[in-house]
Amino acid sequence: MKVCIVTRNIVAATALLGAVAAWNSAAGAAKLYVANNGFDSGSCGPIGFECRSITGALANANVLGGDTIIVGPGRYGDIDGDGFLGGIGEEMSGAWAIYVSIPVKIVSSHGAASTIIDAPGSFGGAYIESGPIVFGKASKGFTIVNANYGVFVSNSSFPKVKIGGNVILGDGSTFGIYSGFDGTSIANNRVVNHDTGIDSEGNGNSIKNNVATGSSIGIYVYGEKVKVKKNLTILNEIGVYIDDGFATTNSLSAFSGNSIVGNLDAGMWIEAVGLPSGGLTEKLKGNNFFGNGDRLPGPPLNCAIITSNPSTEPLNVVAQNNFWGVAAGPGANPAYAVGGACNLGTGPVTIDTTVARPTEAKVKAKPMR
Amino acid sequence: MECSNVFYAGMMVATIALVSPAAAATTLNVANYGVDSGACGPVLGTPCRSISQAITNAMAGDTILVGPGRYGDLDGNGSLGGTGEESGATGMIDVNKTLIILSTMGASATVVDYGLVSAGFYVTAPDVVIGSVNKGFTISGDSGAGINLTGTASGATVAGNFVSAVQVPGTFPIYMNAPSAVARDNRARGGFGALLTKAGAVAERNVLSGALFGLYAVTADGATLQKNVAVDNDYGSYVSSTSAPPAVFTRNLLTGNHLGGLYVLQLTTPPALTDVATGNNFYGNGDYASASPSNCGLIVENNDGTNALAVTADGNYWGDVAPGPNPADNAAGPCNVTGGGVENVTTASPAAAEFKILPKALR
Repeated sequence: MKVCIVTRNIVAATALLGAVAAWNSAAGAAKLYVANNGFDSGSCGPIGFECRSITGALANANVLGGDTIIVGPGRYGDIDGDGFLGGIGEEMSGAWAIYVSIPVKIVSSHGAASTIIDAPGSFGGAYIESGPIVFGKASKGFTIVNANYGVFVSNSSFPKVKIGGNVILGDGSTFGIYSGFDGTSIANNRVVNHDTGIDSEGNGNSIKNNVATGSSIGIYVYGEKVKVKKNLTILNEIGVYIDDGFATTNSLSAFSGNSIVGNLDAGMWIEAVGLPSGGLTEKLKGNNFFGNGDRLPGPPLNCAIITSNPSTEPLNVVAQNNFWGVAAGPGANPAYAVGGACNLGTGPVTIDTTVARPTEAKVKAKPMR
Repeated sequence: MECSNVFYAGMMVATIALVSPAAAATTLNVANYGVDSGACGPVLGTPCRSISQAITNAMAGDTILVGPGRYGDLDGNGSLGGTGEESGATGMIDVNKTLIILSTMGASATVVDYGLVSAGFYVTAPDVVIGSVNKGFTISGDSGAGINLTGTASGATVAGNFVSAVQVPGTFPIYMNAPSAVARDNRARGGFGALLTKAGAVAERNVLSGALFGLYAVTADGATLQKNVAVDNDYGSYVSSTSAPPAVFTRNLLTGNHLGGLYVLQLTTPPALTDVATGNNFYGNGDYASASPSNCGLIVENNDGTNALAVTADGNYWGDVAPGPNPADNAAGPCNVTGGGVENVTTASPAAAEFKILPKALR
């Protein structure tokens, strides 16, 4: 048996030299592979010589960008179960399990359900501080567990950061996905049980096709001109929170095709502290707002949208062509309400729901592995 | 006008008389904007609020379509039975008729939160269907079982569901105690066993994670366990057969499980019983420092001092050209746990490359 292993290692080493030579000589983008049966080394990455950790592959990727890291099924992070990172084959110790500071694409081969990043004792699962970067995509993402934050996109500005196809399971604290970047794309993720499922604080971000459940706030938007489309928020305390605090223009450039249903205390909360002179107008179109605010005692009960404007400038909400539970529009159960008792502020608020969608909008999550 | 009413009443009686003998299956609707009543469900514009009410109003053979949103303890007071809430006597939703229960928008959009009730769906009727691909439910709770197929629920099928539970003894996201039950294309996370199956069961294309045992085949006689993915469990799977035919365990992917991949245990062994595990991927298992034995894709333990336990584990992929030390997973030898009996494990003809085993994409 030992002879066989030695022979295999010699053959493997020879093949590795060839593979690395071919890999290095390629002028174009390279693919680096990571697997549960891989080994970290300064030359790991080619097929047959997979790295064990994503961190190991990042160390071997081209710092100038363009490489793709493909991660096989299994478990990454705290491999030996001692509650810490940094051991052999594990992701890095310190604040973040995976620190991405070069332009790179990181995807899984089998999808989030089969690819687990277990990051106990860390501040978070992945920290993004460069661009363009792809961290997961539909059916090619990761499940992140036992991390404080799931994916954290730093407050610096880099172009084209895309966070997609990930499942991030939390413990009720901190964020599933946070982005302080401008122009971040957050799509096709499922964030479960956080303080805030998706926290978007950059301008021009796109939040699309995500599912946010079980959090205090499903999706939080603080920024300008953010697109929020085709998301599902269910079983959160507040489905979507729009923070118009100190905005100079609209938080939303589009809010359409979302299903905001079955959230415990309210479907949406629009908070308008410090509106600009002349106020601002947010537009919501083609969404479902029903089944929200059924939990006692409620902030009050049965609110599709809670508005709170403590400023003296006007907050205007144009909410046409949405479905409120019945064809006639917002109101008492089984419809869900806006304005009236659902308006908590002292400042001027108008909500235009004159045209209501008569039936439920068909909002389906994208199928994911 | 009165004549007209008599005429219409006569027509209605005649219509009912014509319809009743056929007893055609009805579709009942449930929505978060529905209102429970003794008549809710059959008309699209008058959905029920609770799945329980739709079950009450349904007849065997009917289909219940459940819209997106949240079902269960709506007012959050810790008890069920309030207006629009589920109202099962044993589980949160008792399924005591042969019904097909599907969601309209898929598991991601349809949440059954059963909290501390003993079960989310508690099924006692035969041939019940709960979910299908892209028409399932998210079922989460803190105790018992997300879906409990009791011993009388023979022939039941659960599919397309995302089910989770905390990992403590006695919790099972999917508990299939029913004969000839099928679990297909589910995602189950947490619990003592993410998916418990018994004799004659079919478990295929499920993804099982975060549990003590991912696929927990307690009495695996005649079970078909195939194309499942088990990852991030203490043990990827557990198989224990008591009589022929043994379980068939094939085309499964067991990787990244903390203490081991597949654990085959024999408590008492009839003669000549051979469990078959072939065509699977076993790698990246048993890497916890506490794993003993460690690095095992396949662990076999025979507690029967009289009869040998045979496991035919030929034609599997072990992470390298053959089972052995890292980067391969090991089998036989140090991975046999002596429980007083003899373990005969074969690992002939190992596969040279990983089998492609992909779970189905689900909403």
